[in-house]
Amino acid sequence: MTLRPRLIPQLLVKDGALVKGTGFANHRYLGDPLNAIRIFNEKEVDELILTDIGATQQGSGPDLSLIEDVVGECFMPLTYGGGIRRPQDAANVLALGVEKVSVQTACLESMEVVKEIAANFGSQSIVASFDAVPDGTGAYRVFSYLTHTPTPAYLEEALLEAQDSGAGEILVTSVSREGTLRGLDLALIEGVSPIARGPLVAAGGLNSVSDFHAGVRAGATAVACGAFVLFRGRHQALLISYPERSDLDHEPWQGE
Amino acid sequence: MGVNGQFDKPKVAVIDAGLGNYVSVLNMVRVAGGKPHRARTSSEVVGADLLILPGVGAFDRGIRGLRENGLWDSIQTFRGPLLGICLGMQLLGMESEEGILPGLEMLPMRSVRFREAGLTVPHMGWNEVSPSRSPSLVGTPGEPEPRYYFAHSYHADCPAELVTGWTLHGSEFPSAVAAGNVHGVQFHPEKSHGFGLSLIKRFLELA
Repeated sequence: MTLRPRLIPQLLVKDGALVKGTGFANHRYLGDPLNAIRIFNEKEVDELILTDIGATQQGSGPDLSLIEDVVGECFMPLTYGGGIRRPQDAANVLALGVEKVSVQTACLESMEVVKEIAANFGSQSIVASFDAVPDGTGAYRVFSYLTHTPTPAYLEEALLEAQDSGAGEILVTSVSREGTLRGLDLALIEGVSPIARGPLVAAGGLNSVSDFHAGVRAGATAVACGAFVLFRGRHQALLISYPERSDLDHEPWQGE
Repeated sequence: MGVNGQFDKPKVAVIDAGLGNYVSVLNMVRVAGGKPHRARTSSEVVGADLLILPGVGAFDRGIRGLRENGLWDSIQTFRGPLLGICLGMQLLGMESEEGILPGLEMLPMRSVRFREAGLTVPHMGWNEVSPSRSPSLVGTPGEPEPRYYFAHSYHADCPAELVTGWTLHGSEFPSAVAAGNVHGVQFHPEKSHGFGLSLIKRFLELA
């Protein structure tokens, strides 16, 4: 199999600014998202995820002007998430040149929006995104970003429902690992990968290239990362780094 | 190219029929040295040196989008080099398993779903393309294989003579096709960094 595992930087924005968070709280200002995007584009990263955490919190729709600016800087695929509640939100964003829209909070209520987006734009244009927490029994529950609490929904069931509704890609984020650089939750990945029919993107805690390879061996098709590639250096300068292509491709992954 | 050493940028019409993603194509054509414009009506297609048909989404919706915008005839009768991208490539064919409407019928191919057991579908991510013809928009046989970004659940099914590039996902499938002036690529050059830029540059040189 020559389809390569992807390493996908995920940028969080709030009110048009790039922010950093740990465990979904304490978002700190990092800088101008367009600068970061320009650099990622120069580094020819595999793909980018842009998540607007303000859009969901404030109930506003996607910031189309920001997204348009971002698209203008990228010659690689973009996934946008944040405030996608209705199919029209998705249509507006996809029309700007974004490859995929990611739906998270809307999924907690119903998969209708997933079904409609898939029907209108194809499965490959919609990502169902889940934040996951262990419930102490070995199972994982879906975590609500909006209320900062676990929901009763089991991750596996929610994932299956999303796929049956047409979601082409699944993104699963470990709430406890996010922003910590403590390493991916491999048990989480191993648990969900057998039921993922399409690409599975794992996120939360990535801290090295070997951790990336471990995530792929555990069953992830791709890994999303934040703190691993984007951080604040001394004097508050924004530092961006991305592994060499040869390091990412180096290890044989499942199937070969 | 103009005479007397003057460089006239090739005029490229990029179809916008509500199928999304024409913006990135426009941007890449500009960076590649072309003069792109967005074409929403048949009058905006006329006079272009080259035509690009991007597309994302479901087959029937794509067909309807082209018909409703009056673009059908202008695409079928376009004389210059034409490039279909992703769904755009599939629309150039006869039909698709994804829909019930007939395609533009400009290429003797149909589109079928990835069916192999255990295969990850959609085929999403960076994958290699082996050029099977020289010259080819995709690259040169014998050189290191280029990589492009794919995001699709359906792929072309066509005679080998049509194929200019093969990609492995389960089995080999046609990732690039061409017949005369009509070209199609299953992947997204406008989202494939330098590889895509090289392809678009080669396409512009066809004018």
